[in-house]
Amino acid sequence: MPIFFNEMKRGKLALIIWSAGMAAMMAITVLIFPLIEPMMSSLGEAYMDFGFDMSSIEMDFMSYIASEFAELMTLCGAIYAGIIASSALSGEERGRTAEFLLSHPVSRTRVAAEKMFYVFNCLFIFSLSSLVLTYASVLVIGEEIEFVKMLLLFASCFAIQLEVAGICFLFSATVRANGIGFAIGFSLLMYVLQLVSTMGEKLKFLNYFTPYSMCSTAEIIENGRLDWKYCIVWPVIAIASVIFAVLYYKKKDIYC
Amino acid sequence: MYAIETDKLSKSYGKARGITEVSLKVDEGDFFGFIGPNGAGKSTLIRTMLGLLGPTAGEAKILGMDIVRDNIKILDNVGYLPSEATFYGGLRVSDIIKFSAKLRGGGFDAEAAMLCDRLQLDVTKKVRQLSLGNRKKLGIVCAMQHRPKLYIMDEPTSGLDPLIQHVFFELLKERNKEGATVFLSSHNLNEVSAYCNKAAIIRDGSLIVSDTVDKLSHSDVKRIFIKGLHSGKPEAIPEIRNLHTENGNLGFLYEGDMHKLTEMLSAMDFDDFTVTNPELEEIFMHFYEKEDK
Repeated sequence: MPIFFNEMKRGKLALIIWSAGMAAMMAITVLIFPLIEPMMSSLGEAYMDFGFDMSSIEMDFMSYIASEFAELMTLCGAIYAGIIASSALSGEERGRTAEFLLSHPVSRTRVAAEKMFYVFNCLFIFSLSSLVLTYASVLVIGEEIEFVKMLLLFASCFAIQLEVAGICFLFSATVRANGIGFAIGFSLLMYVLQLVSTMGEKLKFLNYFTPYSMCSTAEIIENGRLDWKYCIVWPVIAIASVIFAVLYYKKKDIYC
Repeated sequence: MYAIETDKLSKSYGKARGITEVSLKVDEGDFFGFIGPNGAGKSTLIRTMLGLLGPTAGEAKILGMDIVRDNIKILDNVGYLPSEATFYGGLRVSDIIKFSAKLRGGGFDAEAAMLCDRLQLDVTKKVRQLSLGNRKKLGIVCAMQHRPKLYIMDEPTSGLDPLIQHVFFELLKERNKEGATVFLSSHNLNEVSAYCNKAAIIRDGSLIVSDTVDKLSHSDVKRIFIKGLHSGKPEAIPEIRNLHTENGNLGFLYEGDMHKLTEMLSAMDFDDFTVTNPELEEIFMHFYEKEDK
């Protein structure tokens, strides 16, 4: 897999910065919990004022982690996923390296597959490093945590990243322009949509229009499971996006 | 079997012209020059043949294989140097060479080392530190290390110093002697006439002429030079092109009946005149002006 390893070599610095930054933020969030704990009850109200549906959750360490996680990890992870996926293929054209790469005996399907695997791998390392450091920080402060629920939080966040990556990968295959603006804009828009959906019963339908609804912290903390009705639409859209991206890229004229 | 065979191959970008019905044949073992100014369609033809661009119409075969169906097999047997060789800036030269080799299955270390040595390429440098010439050298190593059957070189010498240009053409000549075909796209007519046995001229996306360099240079076109013209002037006839006067001297290209030329000259008063075969450059200009008219 020379293209995958070449991408890893080129993208390792960004991966290290994003992973270390995210893991450090999550670790700090956990480590300052002993200072936050006395203010927990008012914190829950503050989150509800901000729009998070915490009504059914008793504010404890797990819910604190979940709420911070919802703010930091899902948004930052989705932005990182969008950035690397949106430049995976178009970056070769913008950087004028596509002519070099595609004049070798490799099919475009293979190029797209190895690039997508690179994106998957980066997001896996990004999520795993945050999970490991978060759990280590929990052990340091001596709090008890339900590991399965924590794992579910990280897994659902990882799924959101993959969904955003899938959409942005399609952008990368079809548009030559820099995808960073699209990636950040798309991630923020979807995030805001999810925030709005928590602000009232009539707005709950918006959950179907954003991948962030997959990581429903309230459902995970309360019932220890995902809200499956929000876990069907976006995975299908993401998979369809990747398939369409590959089909389009196979026929695309490469201008250098 | 032809190394390159295109049949009415066309590529258009929406309403814009790329190449129009290009029919070209390059024999195996040829050292073929592909001449045309910037924007004539040289790179478009090459990129279409290599599958980077999809043809709008027509068909083409490289080494007997269809450019659409057998793209991967073709690329396995072709060494391509793009006109603007661009690589991943953060990597080292050695990384790029290894990456290129791995994409072709690997195992070309000795050949790559020999090429780097002859081209004086420092493999420890990062790509972003390379000058245009050194990037070209890196492109040459990547295009030649796997010893392909067909070399497609698009404007290969731009940025290379004369010494390395000489080394580069020596390498190409060696490979050509071993049986490989060289397709050299250039607007440098001197290197085409010096190294190529055949050449084709492209203009505005259409092929104007394709023949041996000898035949092109010794075509029916003659360069006429009249020294010390006192009276008379050539008739305004279609056989005369590229007419210019300077300091009482007159020069033009003539393609037509030589009797008519001598009759015309006998009606003029001058000190001396010469009739020579024009250089390839003049032939090139001749074809271009002819098409204009």
